[in-house]
Order: sequence, then structure tokens, then C-alpha cells
Amino acid sequence: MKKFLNGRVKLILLLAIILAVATSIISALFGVTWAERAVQTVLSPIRGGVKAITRQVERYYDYIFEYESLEAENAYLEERIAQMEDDVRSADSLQRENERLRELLNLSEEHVDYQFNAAYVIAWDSSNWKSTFTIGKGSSAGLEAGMVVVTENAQVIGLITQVGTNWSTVTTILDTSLEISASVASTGSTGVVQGSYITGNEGKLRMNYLPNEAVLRNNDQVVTAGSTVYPKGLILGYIEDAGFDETGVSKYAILRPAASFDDLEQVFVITHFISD
Amino acid sequence: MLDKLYITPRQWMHILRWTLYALLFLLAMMLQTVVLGNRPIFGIIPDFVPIVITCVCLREGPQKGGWFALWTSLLWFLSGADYGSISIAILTVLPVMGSILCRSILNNRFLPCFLINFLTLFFLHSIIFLLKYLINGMDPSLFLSKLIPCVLISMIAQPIVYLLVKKIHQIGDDYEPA
Repeated sequence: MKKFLNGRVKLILLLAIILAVATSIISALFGVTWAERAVQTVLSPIRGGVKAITRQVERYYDYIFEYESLEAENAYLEERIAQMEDDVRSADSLQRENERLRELLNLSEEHVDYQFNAAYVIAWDSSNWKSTFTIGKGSSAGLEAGMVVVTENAQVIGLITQVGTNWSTVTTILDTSLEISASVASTGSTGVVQGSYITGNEGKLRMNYLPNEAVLRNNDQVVTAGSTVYPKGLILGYIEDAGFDETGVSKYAILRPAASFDDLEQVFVITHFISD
Repeated sequence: MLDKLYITPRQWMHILRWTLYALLFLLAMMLQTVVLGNRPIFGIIPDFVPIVITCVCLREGPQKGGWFALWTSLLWFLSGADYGSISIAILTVLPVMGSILCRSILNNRFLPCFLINFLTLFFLHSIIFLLKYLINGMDPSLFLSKLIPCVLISMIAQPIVYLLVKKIHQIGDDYEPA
């Protein structure tokens, strides 16, 4: 064994340990280093290219293997549309409610101060313990760390946490590191929303520190309460479950995120808004 | 001067071999982060990069393979992987020690490589899990529900990577001195 553990191998092992210690100290002191920026700037176009190829392959796969199921789905949807058209004609009251909800949700009309920048998702974090992804735009497109990322329906996806020239890392609301001030839209009860890693609740959010007397109903909408980072009224999710927390003093709620993370392709970064 | 720039056929083969190893590493990285990053298999994101690093290190020996492990684990960390800088040390030290073990006591056949790959992956994920548990208060039950399945699902790729690395290693064998 000693024959193989020679001076050069010892040097490699020593270098590995030194590099591990040095990079952890540098990361702790300065955050993203120039080396990380350089590597990710080089990788960004490669990832973008691979992503484009993957999307094309998926389209061909869907075309070849899912043609029959799409045909059946199409027939079913046509039937549903006819049924829904009938429903819409007869349900005036529902239509009025729909108008109210539309007003509530139509943020782009209510908030003309919002400026959006569209970007494509090019890579996801490979870890099972973290929820981040990379988009193919960065500081050259005017993006900065701390900007909010939403869907086209103003559902919150996450926050930009790292920015390079042509890439940005978005930490999603499912990650435990993000904490967002939020309120229940129907009652106004406020709390703090963060990702949940509790077994059985993966992919869900947890709203903590709700007041003892808060009234929480299933499917109640939870929106951002507004801060210098998050504009007010962006949709976070819907209540699925609730109860008293470990202390017994305040309540918590488990939320189903409003945004669908499984088929996320394009996202919108709010580059400018006027906070209340 | 020009004589020094001349590259022998054997050197060309070495360049080709290491380029292919680098491409295999890049392929694993892209597969993991771009293709499967948002499409977990049974709710798990597999981890192929440590398998590629370990297989190359075991095949090329502790010295050449050690350098490969060192640079690729550094690149993997700098590319934004969630493993933290400790992965540089783990992904270099374990494959190098495994390679020494294979060459001195075991052999370079499939089973010892499979075993060392498994141990590297398990140890790497256990250390990361332990850090997440101590720092972020990670739910301990995720060890069974996420970590073990992650290691097992990732190991499905090991035989393919092992064969690819074996084939790549054979490039330039004709030019090796007898």
C-alpha cells in the first residue's frame, strides 16, 4: 500500500483538504467568488444548449408516444369546453365572483409600476436538500440579487440569490432558507411563509406565527404582505391544513404552492416596483 | 524549438483519453442538473458526478486519477453544486484511497469498483446530510426516505459508467510501452 501512497499522491490529498478549507472560508467571507462566477458563466451557454436540445427531444417524444393520448385528451377537452360554455352562460353569480377574483389577481392592471424581465430555466440544482434553479439571464440583462421571480399569473416562484453576467440562481419559495411575510387574503391574518422539509410535506410551504385567533379555511389564498423585497399581493399558495404549532401559542398552516414547479420553463423577474 | 511542439501518436491518444473523461464528467453534470434536475426519479434526484469521478480515479490509479478527482470536484463545487466545499475533500480523498485499496489489496474488476463507488456516494451524502441536520435542523427521517434511495438510484448508472470508463481507458493501449 505504501508503494501507491507516494509523495505525489500525498500532495494531491493535501491540496484537496487545503482547497476545501480555503474555499469554505472564502465563500463564508465573500459569498460568490470570481471563480464561481467564471465557471458558471462558461457553463451557462452549455446548459442553455443542452436545455434546448432536451426540450426538442421532449417535443418529439410527446409527438411520437403521446399522440393517441393527446387525441383522447383533445376529445375530452372539447366535451368539457362545451359543458363549460353552458355553465358560463347560466352562472351569472359565478361570473360576478369571477370578476372580483380577476380584479384581485390582475396585478399588472393594478400595479402599473411593475417591470418584468422574462427568462428561461436552464438548470436545476442537483441536490435533494435544496430548491434552486438557474435562469439564462444575469446582470447584463439588468437582473440583481434580491429580485422576485414570478409566473405569468403573478404566483411567487422565488428570489434571485446569485447573479452572474449571463446567469442567475433563483432560490425557490420551497427552500427552507427563504422566509416571506405573508397574509391570508380573506381574513388578513399575517404570518411567515417558508419551505418545508418535513416528511410527507415535501413540495409544500409552511406558514408560521399566525395569531391564535386566526380563522384558517381550506383553499384560502395566501399572498405576500409586502416589503422592500416582495411587492404586496403576490400569490404564494393555498391553505391545505392548519393547527397549533409546537408552542401551542400560535397557529401554523400548510400551504400548497400556487406556482407549479414541475413544468416550469419560463419565469418573469420583477425588476422594478414601488413598495407601499 | 519545433521538435518540442511535435506531439507523438501516443500523446495524441492520451489527450483523446482525458478529453473523453472530461466529456463524460460534463455529460454526467448536464444530465444531473439540466435533464433530470426538474424530473426526479421516484421523487429523488440521482447523483452521477461522484460515480464518474470515482470510476475514473479507480481506473487511472491514485496519481493520475487523483488529479482528475481533485480538479473535477473543484469544478463541480464551483458550478454551484449544493454539496459545499467539503465535497472537494471527500470526492478526492475517498476515490484516491479506494484506488490505492484496489491496487494493493483488491483488484480493478467490477465488484470492488461497485463497492467503493457505493461507499463514496454513501459517505459523501451522509456527511452532507449530517451537516444539514446540524446546521439547518433537517428532519432525521429524511435519511431513510431520501438519502438511501438517492444512493441506490444513483448506483443504477454505475455499471454503465464503469464500462464507458473501461473502454475510454483502453484508448492508446497499442502505444503503451511493453
